[in-house]
Amino acid sequence: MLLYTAVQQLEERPREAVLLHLVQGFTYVKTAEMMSALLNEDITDGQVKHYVRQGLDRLEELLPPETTFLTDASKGEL
Amino acid sequence: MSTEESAPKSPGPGDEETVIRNRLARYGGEKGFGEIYREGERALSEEPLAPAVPSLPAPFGGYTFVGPQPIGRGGAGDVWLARNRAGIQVAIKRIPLNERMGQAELGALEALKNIRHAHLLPFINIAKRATAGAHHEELLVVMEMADGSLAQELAKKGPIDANVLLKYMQEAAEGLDYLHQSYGHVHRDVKPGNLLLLGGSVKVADFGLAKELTQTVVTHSRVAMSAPYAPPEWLEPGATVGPRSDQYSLAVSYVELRAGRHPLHAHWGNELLMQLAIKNGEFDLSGLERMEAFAVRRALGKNPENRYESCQAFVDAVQDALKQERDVNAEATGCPGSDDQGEDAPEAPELAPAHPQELPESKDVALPRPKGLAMKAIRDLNFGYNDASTYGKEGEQALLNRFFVKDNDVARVCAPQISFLVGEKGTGKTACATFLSGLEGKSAYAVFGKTLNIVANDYVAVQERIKKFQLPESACAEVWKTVLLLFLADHLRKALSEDRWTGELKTASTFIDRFYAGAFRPEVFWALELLTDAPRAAQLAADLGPSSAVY
Repeated sequence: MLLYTAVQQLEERPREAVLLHLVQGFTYVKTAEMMSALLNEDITDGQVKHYVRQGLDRLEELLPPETTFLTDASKGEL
Repeated sequence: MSTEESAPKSPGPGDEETVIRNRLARYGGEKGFGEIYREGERALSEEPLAPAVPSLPAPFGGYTFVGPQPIGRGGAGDVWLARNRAGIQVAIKRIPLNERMGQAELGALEALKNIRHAHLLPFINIAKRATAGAHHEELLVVMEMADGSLAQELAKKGPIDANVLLKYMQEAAEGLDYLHQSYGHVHRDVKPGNLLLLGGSVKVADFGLAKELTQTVVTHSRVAMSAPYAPPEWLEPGATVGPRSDQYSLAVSYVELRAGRHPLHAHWGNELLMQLAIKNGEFDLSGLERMEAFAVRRALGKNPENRYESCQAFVDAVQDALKQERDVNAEATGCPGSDDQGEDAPEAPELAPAHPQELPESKDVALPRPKGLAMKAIRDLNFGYNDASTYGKEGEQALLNRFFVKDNDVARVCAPQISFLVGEKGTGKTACATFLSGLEGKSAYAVFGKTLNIVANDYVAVQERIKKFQLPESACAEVWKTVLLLFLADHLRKALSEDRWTGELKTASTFIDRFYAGAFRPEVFWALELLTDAPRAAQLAADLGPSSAVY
């Protein structure tokens, strides 16, 4: 499964945290600001870390953990 | 302190950030994660989503499809060219349905079949039939065959001339208002691709389909609702969509057709950033004239209640704004504008209010005179102890300088003609100072020569209004800009002779006065665009030389 596809399957908050922080490269604080604006509630950078971690948990469920992306990243798939 | 503001540290093994970082190692770190994600995204986008040449649909109800391919493809389905028994060409939209599409929804669509309006593309026929594919059934909507869409016009010829576009928008607005007012239907999918051209006139297509089909076909996920033409209210949970949502989409379409690029083009392809931009109203209106952009901004307002009453009102406002812009330009260049503006008519053209009924009588509008002075001379400040006034006393400066200061700055800022901005935390003092500094590139307290006394609304009032209109905290800065510009306008109005107080300045001032009366509605912020040429305003102020205090 493509990492892209797996990310789309995450729940809303972990997905947004992963997309904004890991994909877009925004800092935790900036990500928290953006998520706050998106969700109309205060999100702290600590919560962002929590969501990122949740997202990674779920991604490891979706993507076989024994496979490393480093070897075949150029193909973008496992 | 936030994570990235802190100095680099060596987090312990239990630190959440470290844990995350370690787990990202398999992707090559954060950067690698992003790269791999994008590779996947690209790989998927290159995959064909549907068969390149879909099979020709079977005839139905006397209509024969003309192949080999559909003439259009949208999110909901394909559009095919077809002919009826008499050989007349029609367009048939095929929408795959799931089992949830019931008779009630079909009935609602049937009702729309009866709509007849010069600028709505009517449904000739609507039918449902079983299919052999993954979907159980498909909806077939038979419509008149149009010459093309405004989206195609844009693609072929580039940005559409303002006069031509306004005519198109006028027609589309008439059609949409009729749909709203006579049938209580919201289109929900207004975009250039649904504004069709038929015999030189615009006809709005696909009305009714989106409303009925959102419950059955279109995914309810936020991503699906964040189409580039979708209004911000769609992004809210449990959002209600009304006629002003269509007005928003029409305004987005207008900008795209006029400027040749979508106002959110900077975020194209990034759903999340686009959603944020929609929520924050971060539109690129750079291809529009200033007054025109101002008029459009209102239709793009976050709160539907602050938009125009109707689509027609929106188009009228844009039309007026463009006319004003031309008049002002004509006056500036000495060329006749669209109206007669002879030498005996020093009155600058007044911009027609977008919502006359909501605006106060323009002649009676006085600039608001807030309760307290937010900016005071240092001698008037009460710090609780008298450091400043002590310092100001003759003979004590030298003594204090030995202990506290190393240069003459303190003496300079203690000069009686120098004013200071005071206020509680968060009232926008920094924003004010920054704005003033940017105005002339000089320090904030020397912008207008000797004296600048600024009266501003009190903190509570500002906060209340920010809360009331659900503006972001950053709006504080905008409020301050507005206040400053108002006083600049007032200052210039008093200082300039009547014959110089004409044209753009007068128009801008009138404009701001009117909207300021509505106090901090979003339009006030957009009104600032009229005076974004701040260096020019500052130059005018400088030309006057050191002036007496405004107050």
